[in-house]
Amino acid sequence: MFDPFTISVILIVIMTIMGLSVGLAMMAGVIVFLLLNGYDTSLGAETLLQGLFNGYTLISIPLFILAADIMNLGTLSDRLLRFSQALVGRFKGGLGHVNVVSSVIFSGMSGSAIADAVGMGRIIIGMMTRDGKYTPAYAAAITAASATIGPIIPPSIPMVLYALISNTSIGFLFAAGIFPGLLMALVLIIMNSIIAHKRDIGTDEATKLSEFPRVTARAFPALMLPVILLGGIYSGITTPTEAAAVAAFYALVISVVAYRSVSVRQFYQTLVQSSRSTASVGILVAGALAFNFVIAREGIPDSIASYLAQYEMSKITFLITINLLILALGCVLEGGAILLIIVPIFIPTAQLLGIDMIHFGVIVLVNSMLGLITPPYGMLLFVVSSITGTPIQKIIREVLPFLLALLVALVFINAAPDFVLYLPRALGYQG
Amino acid sequence: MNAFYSINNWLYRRAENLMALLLGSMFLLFIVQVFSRYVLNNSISWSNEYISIAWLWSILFGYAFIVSDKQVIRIDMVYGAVGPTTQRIMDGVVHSLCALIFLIALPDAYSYISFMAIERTADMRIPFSWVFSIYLGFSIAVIGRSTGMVWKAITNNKKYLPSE
Repeated sequence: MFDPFTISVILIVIMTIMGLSVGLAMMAGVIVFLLLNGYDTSLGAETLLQGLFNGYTLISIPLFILAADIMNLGTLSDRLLRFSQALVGRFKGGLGHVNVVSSVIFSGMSGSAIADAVGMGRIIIGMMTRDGKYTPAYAAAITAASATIGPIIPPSIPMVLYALISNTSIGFLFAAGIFPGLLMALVLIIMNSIIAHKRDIGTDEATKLSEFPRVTARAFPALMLPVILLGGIYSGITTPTEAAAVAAFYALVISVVAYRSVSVRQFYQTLVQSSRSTASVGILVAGALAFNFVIAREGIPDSIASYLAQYEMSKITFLITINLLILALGCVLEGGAILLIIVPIFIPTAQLLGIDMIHFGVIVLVNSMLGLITPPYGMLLFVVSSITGTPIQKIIREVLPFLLALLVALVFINAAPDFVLYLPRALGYQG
Repeated sequence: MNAFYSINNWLYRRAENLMALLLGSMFLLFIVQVFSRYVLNNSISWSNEYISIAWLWSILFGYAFIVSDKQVIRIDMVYGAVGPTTQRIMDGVVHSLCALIFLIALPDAYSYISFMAIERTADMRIPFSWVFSIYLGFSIAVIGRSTGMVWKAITNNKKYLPSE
């Protein structure tokens, strides 16, 4: 009736809908696929074990998680916030701008949107709602929206995942994220400004200009982190994986030495917490490694490529289709799952159509980050809802204008490969 | 029952210790590796291998023993929307399926991993059967935890399972 592949896909879908972890469901699906074909079921285990053991770049994931957790531990986020406040706090809707700018700075250090929202987000939401100028729902919404920048500006865990499935260079991918990330920040600032004028939100207390050097000096060691991280990668001194370790180490050193804010006990707890997140992301990667083996064995990507070729689909139609597909999937699937399962299927087609793989990666990433704030299942919406204790419906209403602004940025990123590829090319990317 | 929970709690703390040790040692080795390459002009060959093993173990061991059911990445749009009775039925069905599938695959996994004893890692010369053995621990933990979930669904026991 159905072939083994279809059965295993249906099984995976049913199991995940019924609440099983996505990683485990994929592993189970692979085992069933192998059983129905009469293969040795250990092929799944073999692919997964060898893939994890030999996936050197993947090891940057726990280190980026650790770096972000260390930074959330000390007073580092607080110092960065003060700095952003001194920078843009004096304008109308100031704290909203501070929120976006500090997200940009923080995303230069952490590779995950969730880490951005829980770390920096928690503090800034407190600042914004303290004197009642901003509603908790608005503060939560702009925090969630600006957290999507986190994995676009390097370092970025989703970029590591994309590099894995597309065989692109992590260094060039990281470089390609910088301009689009800044563009996303710009559209959010514009939207915040429009809303602040419309609602006539009062100007926040500005940091005195005379205090600016002191605030900057206090934040300076933290501000150097992205420089060290990217400098290490682009000068070729460290591999991206080592750079992640150096970043975590640097964050630890400045938290302990310069800011004196981390105890041994806290560090131990951070290690436990980070390893827990590592295992829960890792199992998704493991499941995807096994499942991609099945996809490759069935030749799915090639059949889709030749199927689409029949229709002589143009580049633009393909990109529009992919964007709509990922946006729709982003409402129900987690970003990592989309990257690891759905995107590999379309990579051969994209290559066939002559779409640059780095450009394609940035499109897919920005798009799947928007999924994090798309109702009803946007992970970031749940995170900020639990931080603020605000019902999710209220946050959804406030997040819509920001989502719209980010969609405009997404369209531009799609249409302008030269904008995305400018920095990678300047660094020697041939494409 | 109390003694059971306290032993279990003790084991859970040790599992946490091991996880912290795995991640901490990976982190430290990377730093030592960069330092040794640039400052001492001497690259360590076995460190990458150790790191890969620690990475593999921290995922499979960590998922099996210290990640609770609430922390896993899953899609709870439907699961979260239905009532407690439906949730119990879903838990029962999905976890018995999961336990069954991993149980069926266990003998093949065992024979693959024991077969890998013939191959050793390049630098540290550790048999791959040891490196990969954690997959068996992982599979058994998945079977055990899923069985526990089925039991919880049947008896409607609200209490946390030991593994959580």
